[in-house]
Amino acid sequence: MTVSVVSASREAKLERARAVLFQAERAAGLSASTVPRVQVTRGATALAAVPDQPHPVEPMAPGSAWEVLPALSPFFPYGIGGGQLIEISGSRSLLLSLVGHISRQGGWTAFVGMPDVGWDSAANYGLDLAATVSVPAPGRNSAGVISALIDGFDVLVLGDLPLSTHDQRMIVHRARTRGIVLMTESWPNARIKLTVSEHEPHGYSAGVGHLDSWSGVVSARMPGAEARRVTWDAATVTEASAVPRLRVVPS
Amino acid sequence: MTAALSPASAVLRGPRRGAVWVPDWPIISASLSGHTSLGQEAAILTGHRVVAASAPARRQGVIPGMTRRQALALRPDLICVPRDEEREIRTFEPILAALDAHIADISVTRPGLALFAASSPARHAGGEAALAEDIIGTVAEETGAEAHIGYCQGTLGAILAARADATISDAETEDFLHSHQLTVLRLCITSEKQRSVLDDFLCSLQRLGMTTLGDLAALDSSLLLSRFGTLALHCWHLAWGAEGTGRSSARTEGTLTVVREIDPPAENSDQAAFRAKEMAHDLATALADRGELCGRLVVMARTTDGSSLSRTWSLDGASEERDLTDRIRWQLQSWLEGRTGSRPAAPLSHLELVAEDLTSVGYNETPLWGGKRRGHDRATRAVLRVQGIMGEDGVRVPHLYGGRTPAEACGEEPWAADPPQPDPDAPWVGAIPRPWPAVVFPDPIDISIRCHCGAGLGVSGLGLFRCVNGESCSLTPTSVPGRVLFPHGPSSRPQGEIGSAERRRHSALAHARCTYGSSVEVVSWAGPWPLETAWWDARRHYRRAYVQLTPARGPALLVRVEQGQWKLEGIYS
Repeated sequence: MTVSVVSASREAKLERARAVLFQAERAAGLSASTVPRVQVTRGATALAAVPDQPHPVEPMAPGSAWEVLPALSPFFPYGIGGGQLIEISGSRSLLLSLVGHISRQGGWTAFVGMPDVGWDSAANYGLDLAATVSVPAPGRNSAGVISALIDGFDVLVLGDLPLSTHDQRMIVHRARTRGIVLMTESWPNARIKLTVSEHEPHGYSAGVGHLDSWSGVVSARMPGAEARRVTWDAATVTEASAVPRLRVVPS
Repeated sequence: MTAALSPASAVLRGPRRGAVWVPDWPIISASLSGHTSLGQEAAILTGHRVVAASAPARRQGVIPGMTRRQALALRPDLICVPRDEEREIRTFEPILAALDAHIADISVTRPGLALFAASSPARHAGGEAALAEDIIGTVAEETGAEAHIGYCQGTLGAILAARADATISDAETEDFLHSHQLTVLRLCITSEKQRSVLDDFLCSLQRLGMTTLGDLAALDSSLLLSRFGTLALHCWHLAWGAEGTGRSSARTEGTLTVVREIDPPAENSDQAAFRAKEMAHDLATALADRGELCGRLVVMARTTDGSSLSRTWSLDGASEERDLTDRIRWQLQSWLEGRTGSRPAAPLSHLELVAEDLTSVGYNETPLWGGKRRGHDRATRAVLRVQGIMGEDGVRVPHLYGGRTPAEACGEEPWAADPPQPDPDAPWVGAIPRPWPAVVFPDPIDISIRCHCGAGLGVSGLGLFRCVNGESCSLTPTSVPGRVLFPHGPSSRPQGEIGSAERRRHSALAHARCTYGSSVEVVSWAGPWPLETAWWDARRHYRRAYVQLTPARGPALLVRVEQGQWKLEGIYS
């Protein structure tokens, strides 16, 4: 009895030690090929074993992943992990719905260099405006502003900023060390890149009705993730049915 | 001496000030604390030199500036009291407390002399003369001392007026000041160090043949500054009836001030950081003694070339020494490293901290269930650092105000500013149907929309598309509008300030052209929805029509037309 408890706690210790080692390796930029097969989402207390399967993307270090909306989870099977850099081009709604869901889980968000965010739309996707700040025009202080914000926020959304390659490398490295999620609309050589194309608004036709939702094909530059069409409406994002909806709403 | 000599004089003029002057305060203070009594021959000494003498002693020839030996030779039974500034301030405090009943905002130049902004208290008391009477009565009741009150524009004028028991009107200020001897400038000096510098300066002026303030005021301030330094500029300002800036301590209701002259002036942030820590310690101790938290901290600095810098920090009750130190240090670093874009040309010689919005500690308790407290503190620290780099307005928090269109219904306020009373859930009749676009341009960009015949397109008063070609165009209510054209912006970035409306429009246009190219065909549309608001209020009134457009490629657009000009307000991307 006693022995088994000891061995169990030893196992747990070993697991924890591995996790710490993994985190340290990640932080140092040594890509770990021997990933620990554990996954913990924020708020969960138990370690859940991940089914033994090939990993389309790198699993997260334990205890640092944010949950993702079901419609987008195929792109993030392990959640959005701290330290990840995600480039999202072609759709602000995709960006806001990802950020909004993290904000719903208690994350603090900072927008840097994004003067044109539709805050009403963002709030509807779950963004807690009381836990959000925006530095719309950091100009040439961008690098300093970002490194200051990395210390205090969980998610940084970066717009079009005048950053040198050196600054960019520094920011990515700091974010990885601190476990901060970086989302951008354009970033050279981002490892995770989502692109939205074939936009389609729904709900009106020839002057009748009004826009009630829109859809787009999300494709990811990562192995194992197939492009899929998703639909945004006022409050959430859902996977689109096979046939795009064409609904006329009387105005 | 006319104002034409100094084009800046009108700007420089300080507000109307009153001065409360209690003559011979060192002597009165000594008598109040039992070292002497008012009728005796007494002198206050620092070291071996007389700095003040009582009226009976003065009658016997004992004057300030004498050595102890000379004074004792004149009056062998003279009572000599060593000077104790702390005692002087302590005994002056009851007078200030008594003045608080009449004046809300009073600042102490030195014990025995206090200045206040005259206009509002005088209005309250029913005139300047009535206020003076009230004050003299109160001071006499409280301490038995005789106070003199004077009113004039600017610090020096008020002090001089108090010495003459005069009320100088704004028009007379210049003549009043300029007729005085230069030596009166000594009255505005608070520290011994400044006094010796001033004496040297006055000596030089005298040798140059100048005797009155008018002579000094006639000089060119920039030449004066380059030749004699900051103090000369300060004196020049005083001579023009401007506000003196050399206050050493302010005791105003609701604020607390710490001032330091930095000698040698701080040139780099390390030197400044050292001062910051020292001053923050003083301020935090003072706050702790009073049992108060400060809501705002004003950090002010003057450089040796006379320019002054100032920034107000909102502390939100964080009055710990570390918090204060950090803010001051960050601010000084930002200034000295020139990150705010207004790098001072000279080292900092003078620092001033003002704690404002003081609240009693008891009123600032953390909420019992502060779920977000930890994240909030962490975020606050980060934001404060960014504010040090960008200024307080650089960091903004989004707010929903409520409204009919995406651009007017939300916006951003500076961090820690009081948010406007939001009412996003009010019934906004005629609002643009939701969902609203995810990209909203706060400064919508000009675009043009063409009918399929190639002419411009507008919206009629009935809310229908109307081609400028009129009857000759085949546009019908069900035919597709045509094309959207995005104009060529300026090829280079506009020169405006970063974050200016012009720069924002430029980047918005770049965003749109990147998504759609220079023009795109319209496939489908919704609207137009005419929207007219607040015809009774010119500032809020507009008459627009909104249209949702499906372009041939790319996400849907929300555009509006107002007085024939189409604008792109948002993108449903």
